[in-house]
Amino acid sequence: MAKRKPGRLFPIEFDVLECGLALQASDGTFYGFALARALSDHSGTELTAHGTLYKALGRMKDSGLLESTWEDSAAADAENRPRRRLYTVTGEGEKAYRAEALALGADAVAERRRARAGGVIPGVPLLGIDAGGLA
Amino acid sequence: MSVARTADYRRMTAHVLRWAAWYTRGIDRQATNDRLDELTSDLYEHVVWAESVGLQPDEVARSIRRRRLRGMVDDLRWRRAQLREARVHDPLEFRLRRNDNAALAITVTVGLGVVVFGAFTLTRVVSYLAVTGDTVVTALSGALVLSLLLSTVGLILLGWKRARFAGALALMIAQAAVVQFGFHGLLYGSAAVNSFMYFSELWPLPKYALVGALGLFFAAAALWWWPSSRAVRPPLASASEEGSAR
Repeated sequence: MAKRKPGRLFPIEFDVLECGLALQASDGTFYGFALARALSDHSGTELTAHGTLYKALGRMKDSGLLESTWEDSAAADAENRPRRRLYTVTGEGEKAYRAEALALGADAVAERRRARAGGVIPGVPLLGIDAGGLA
Repeated sequence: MSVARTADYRRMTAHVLRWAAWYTRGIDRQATNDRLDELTSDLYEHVVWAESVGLQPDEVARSIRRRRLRGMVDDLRWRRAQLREARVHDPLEFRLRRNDNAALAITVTVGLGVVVFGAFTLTRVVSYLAVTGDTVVTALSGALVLSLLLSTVGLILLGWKRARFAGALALMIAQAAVVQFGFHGLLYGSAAVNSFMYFSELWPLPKYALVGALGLFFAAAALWWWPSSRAVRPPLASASEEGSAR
């Protein structure tokens, strides 16, 4: 397994934080499959593998970048579906995202976004880390 | 027909959950339940989304299969991390391991003592043979060499976790021979032992006491490491905060 550089995020962690913050901005929380869709949306790539996605989410939760809580059963029952595990990006997660974006540099961040989103990520707020602003 | 009702989707869902049940076996129950519930939710959301965008059932099944296959390595890494974490936080496991290390250190030390004693007596007997040419000790030398070999094999076997009981058994037998032949050899090879044995009426007692003590010690070591089918004990891991929320 790749070793993490001190103070840095894995690429998937950066992507999870970026997409998670976008989903959180619109829905308040996000859940696994919504995140998998956000990660692959518009890119034409496959949905993130179960193992990869949930292992990353678990690791990020353990390191305090995300918080999770199980949805209330009544809400799930009302919609006749299984409960979702709802995630939110913590303040620490947002800070880590900003720090990683700064460390990567504007070009690299823009490149990652293009790679993931085929040019644009609709609905993904830049959180003050504008690609141009970093340059 | 709803995608969720198709055989393809049901089969693939069952595969995902069977795989998840396999790689979560023996892991903290809370973590297992969390993972299975999360996967169940994911599979449901996947099919709802697939229906909303008009995917065919076989496409959905293929997509789920690919997600399962591509994530298998990560699933296994997650499992390894969970097991490692449980071991670190399990005080019983930690104590057993520490005791096992102590037992091994003591057994190796005592076994080494037997080998050193045997080697020492062998050199004395061989030097006696070289000086005097007295062939009465030839058979004794051979017996000492064999018992030394057995005790050395026993020491080596202690290095393999699964063969430690066999190593202890080999040492249990070898030590009796080493002590018996060793003392006998020292009759020829050591003036002090020779004098002690001739002038003390109780001289066999220390020898038998030593053989008995060492025999009991190595028998206990063999029992300590005796292979047994250990039941899978769920690791003691602290419940996550989700657990209390459930």
